[in-house]
Amino acid sequence: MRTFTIKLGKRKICFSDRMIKEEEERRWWILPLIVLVYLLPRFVGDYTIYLLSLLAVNIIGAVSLDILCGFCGQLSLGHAAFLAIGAYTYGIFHMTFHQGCIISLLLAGLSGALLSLLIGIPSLRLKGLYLAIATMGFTFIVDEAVLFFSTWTHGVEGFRVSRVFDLDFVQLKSGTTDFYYFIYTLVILIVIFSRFLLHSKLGRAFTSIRDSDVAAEVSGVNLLFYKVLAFSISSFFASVGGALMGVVIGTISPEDFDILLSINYLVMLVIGGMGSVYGAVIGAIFITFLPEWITNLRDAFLPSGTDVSVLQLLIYGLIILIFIVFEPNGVYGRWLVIKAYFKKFPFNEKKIGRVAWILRWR
Amino acid sequence: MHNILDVENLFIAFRGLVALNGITFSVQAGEIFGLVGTNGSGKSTFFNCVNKLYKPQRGRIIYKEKIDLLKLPAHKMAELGIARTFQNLELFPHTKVIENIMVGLHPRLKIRRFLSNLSPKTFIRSWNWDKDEAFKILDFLGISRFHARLVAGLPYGIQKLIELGRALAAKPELLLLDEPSAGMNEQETRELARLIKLIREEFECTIILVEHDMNLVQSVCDTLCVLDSGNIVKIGKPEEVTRDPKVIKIFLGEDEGAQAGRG
Amino acid sequence: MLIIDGVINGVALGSVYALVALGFVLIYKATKVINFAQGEIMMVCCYICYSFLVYFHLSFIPSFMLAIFFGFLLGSILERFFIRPLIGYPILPIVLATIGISMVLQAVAGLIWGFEPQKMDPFPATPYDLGKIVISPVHLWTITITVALIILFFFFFRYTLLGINLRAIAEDILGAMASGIPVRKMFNFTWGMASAISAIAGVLVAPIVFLHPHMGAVGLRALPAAVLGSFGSIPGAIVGGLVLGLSETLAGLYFPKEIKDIFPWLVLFLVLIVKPEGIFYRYEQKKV
Repeated sequence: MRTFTIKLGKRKICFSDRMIKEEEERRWWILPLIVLVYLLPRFVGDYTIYLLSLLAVNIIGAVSLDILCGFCGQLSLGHAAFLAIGAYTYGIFHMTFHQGCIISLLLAGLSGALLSLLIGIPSLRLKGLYLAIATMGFTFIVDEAVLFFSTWTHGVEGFRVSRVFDLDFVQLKSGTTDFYYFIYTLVILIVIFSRFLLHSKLGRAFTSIRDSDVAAEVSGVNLLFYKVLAFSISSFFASVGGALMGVVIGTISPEDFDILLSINYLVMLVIGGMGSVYGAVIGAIFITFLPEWITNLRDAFLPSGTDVSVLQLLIYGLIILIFIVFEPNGVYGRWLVIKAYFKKFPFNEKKIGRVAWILRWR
Repeated sequence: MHNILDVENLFIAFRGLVALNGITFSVQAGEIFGLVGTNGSGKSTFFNCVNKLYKPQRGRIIYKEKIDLLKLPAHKMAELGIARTFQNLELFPHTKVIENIMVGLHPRLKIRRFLSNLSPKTFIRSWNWDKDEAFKILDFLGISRFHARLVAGLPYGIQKLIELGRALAAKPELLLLDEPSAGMNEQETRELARLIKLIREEFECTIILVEHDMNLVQSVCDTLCVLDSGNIVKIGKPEEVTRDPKVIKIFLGEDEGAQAGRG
Repeated sequence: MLIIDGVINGVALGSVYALVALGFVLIYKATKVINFAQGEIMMVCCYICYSFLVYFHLSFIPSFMLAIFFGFLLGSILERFFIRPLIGYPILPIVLATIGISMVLQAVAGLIWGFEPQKMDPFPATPYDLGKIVISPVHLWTITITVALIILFFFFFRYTLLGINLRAIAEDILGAMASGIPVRKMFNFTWGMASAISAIAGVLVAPIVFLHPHMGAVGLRALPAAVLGSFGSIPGAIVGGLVLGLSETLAGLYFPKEIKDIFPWLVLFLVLIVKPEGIFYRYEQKKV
C-alpha cells in the first residue's frame, strides 16, 4: 500500500492506492457511437458518403486481418488476394450468372474461406514466417490468375460491377445514404462479432497461440486447427469486404489488388494497434483519409509533377518504421496507457528507461 | 488401474548427446513422484517427452495402462488429463491473470457442453462459467486479488502460482511440475510443500515433480527417482534413496559421499 | 539446341537466385529475421553501380566494387538503425519493419532515379562460341562469379575466425556471448555481408531484367529457393536457387508465359505441400 499526502493549510490528507477501485470496463460510449454513425450522413455531402462507404470496406478488411495477425499472431501478406477473390467471385456470380446479391456475397466469402484452407493448411503446419511467404506468393498467383482467365474476369480493362445492391425489398445504390446504412450495419455487426470472438474460448485459443504457442499446445490447443480457423475466418470476412469494395467502386481490375493493398491493411493495424479490433478501426480511418492528405501535402510543398503513389509508398514505409520503433502498440495501445496513467494518478511508477522500452511491445 | 504412467526404455538423444538412456519406471496413481538429479541429467527432457514437445527415438510411455502417449499429438495431452508447468514460466505476460488461467480451461470447454446449455437461463449462466471456474482456481491458490492485473508486473512467486493455476484449470489427473520451487526461499518452499499435498487431495491427481530442492522432495514425495546422465541410479522411498551412497556421491561428490556414508 | 540454352540460362538465373537466397539465409540464421528488404537493397546497390558507370564515368570493375562496398555499408546502417532497436521484439514487428524499409528504399530510388527502366549491361554482347555450346557473356560471368563466391564462402565459414564466429551465433546466441563473441557486431556484419552479396546478385541480374525501382521483386522470387533449401542451411540456399532457376527457365520453354511468371510461387506451394521442411532439413528442437 502506498500513500500520497497533500497538505491543505494545516491539515494533511492521505490517499492510499487501495482507494483506486478495480473498475469493470465501462462501455458507455458504444451506443452513442453507433447513433453517431447513423446520424452522420445527414451532415455531410455525397462525396464524403462515398468516402465513408470506402472506409466501411477498409474497416472490414482491417478487422478481418486483425483476427489473423492481431489475435493469432500470424503474419499474412495475402489479404489483397482474398479481397480480389471476393470481388471477382461476387462479380462473376452476380453479373455473369445473375445470382442475387446476398447469395453472391455469401459465395464470395465462402470461396475466400475455402481457398484459405488450401494455402493455410500446408503453410501453417510449420512454425515461423511460412504463412507470410506463402500468402505473398498467393497474391502474385491470384493476380496472374485474374489476368489469365480474363474471359471471365475481364482482366486489365476492368470488370464492371453493378453499384446497386439489390435486396428484394429495396435497392441500395452505392453512394446513397441507404447503402451507407446497410454497409455500416454490416460493419458494426462484424466489429461486435470480432469483439465477442476475442473474449470467447476461440479468441483465447488464438491469443494463446500468439503469446506462447508452447503454453497453448500444452493447454490442449491444437495449433494447426486454430491457426487455420483464424485464417479462414479472416479470409471469409476479407472476401466479403472485397465483394463490397466492388459494389462501392463499381469497377475492379487486378492492379487494385496488388501486394501494396495487403501492406495497406497491415499499416492500418500497425497504426491503430493490433489485437484489439478498435485499433483496426482507428487504423482504417487514418489510412482511408491519408491519400487525400498526401495529395494536399504534395500540392503544397512539392513540384506538381511528383507522382503521388511514390510519396504514398515513402510515407507508408516511414509510418511503419516510426510506429514500430516508437509506438508498437499503435494508437489504441497508447490510449490504453494514457487511460491507465490517469486511473492510477498520482501513484504512477516511473519506469526505468530501458525496461519501459522493452516492455513496450504487447 | 494401478499405474498411471509406465515408461519403457525411453531413449532420446540430441545429435549425439544422449539425454535419456533407455529409462524404465512406473508411477502409481495418486502418488507424488519425485524426479531428481543433477543438471543435465534428463529430468526436464523427460517432461518434454511426455508432453510431446520432444520426440524420443525409442521407447514407450503408456498412460493409464492403455494409451501410448508417443503416438498422440502434443495438444491431446491436456484432453487426456495431463497438465504441466514450466521451469521458465510460459505465461502470457500482457494478458490479465484470469485470462491466463482461462486458457487452461480449454480442454474442458467442449461444444457439446455449450450446446447442451440451450435453455436461456443456463445459457446465460454458462456464459460466465469459464470465469467462475477460473476464480475457483484463483481462490484455491489464494491469489484472487490479482485477477485483473496483467501478469507482467507481478512478483515471481505469484507468477509461479498463476502457472500452476493454468495447469490446474484443466482438472488434470496427472500433474507435471517442473522445478516448482525454483527461486523460492525456505518459507515459500514449505508453503509450496503444503500446497502440493493439498492439490493431491483436492484434485485427486498424481503429481510428478522435477526438483532440485532435496528438502521439498523428501517432505512431499512418496517415491523418489534419481537420474544421472540419462540413467536411473535409484528409485524407491525417499528415506532409502537419500541414504544410498551412490546417490550421495552424485550430489555431494566423492569424498563427502564417503564421509556421509560413514557418518 | 534449345534445351542447352535453357539449361545455361537456368543455371545463370539459378545462380542469381542462389546468391539472393544466400543473403536471406545468412540473415535468418544469425538473427532469425526474414529480411523482406533484401530485393530492394539489391536494387539500390545496382543503381549505385549504374550511377558510377553513367554519371561518374568509371569503368565497370571499380563501379562494381564500389557498389558491393556500398551494399555492405547499407546493410550495416539498416541493421544498426532499424533492426537493432527492435532486439527482443517478437518476429512479426521486425519483419514488418523490413517491409517498411523495402517500401522506403523503393520510394527513394524512384525519387532519385525515376521510374523508367534503365539498361545496364556492362558485358560484351557477342556470345562466346565454345565449340558446340554458345554461351553469352552475361551468363558465363554470372555462373563463374557465383561459383567463385561459393568456394570463397566455403573457406570463409570453415577456416576463418569470423566465419566460425558467425556459425556459432547461428547455433546458440547465449553460448556465443559466453564465449566472448561480440554478438551485436556480428549481427551487423551479417547484414552487411548479406547486402553485399545482394549487390553482386543485382548487378548480375540487371542485364536481364533491366534496372528499375521495382526490381526488388526479383529478389523476393528467391524466397522459395530458401524455403526449398530449408531456410537454415547455406548449401541448401545455393542448391535451392539453382533448382529454382533451372526449373523456371525450363518451364518457360514448355509452358505459357503466365506460368513462368509465377513459377517460383508454384514451386513454393509444391514444397510446402510435399516437404515443407525443405530438402536439407535437420531436426531441431526448441529448448523449453
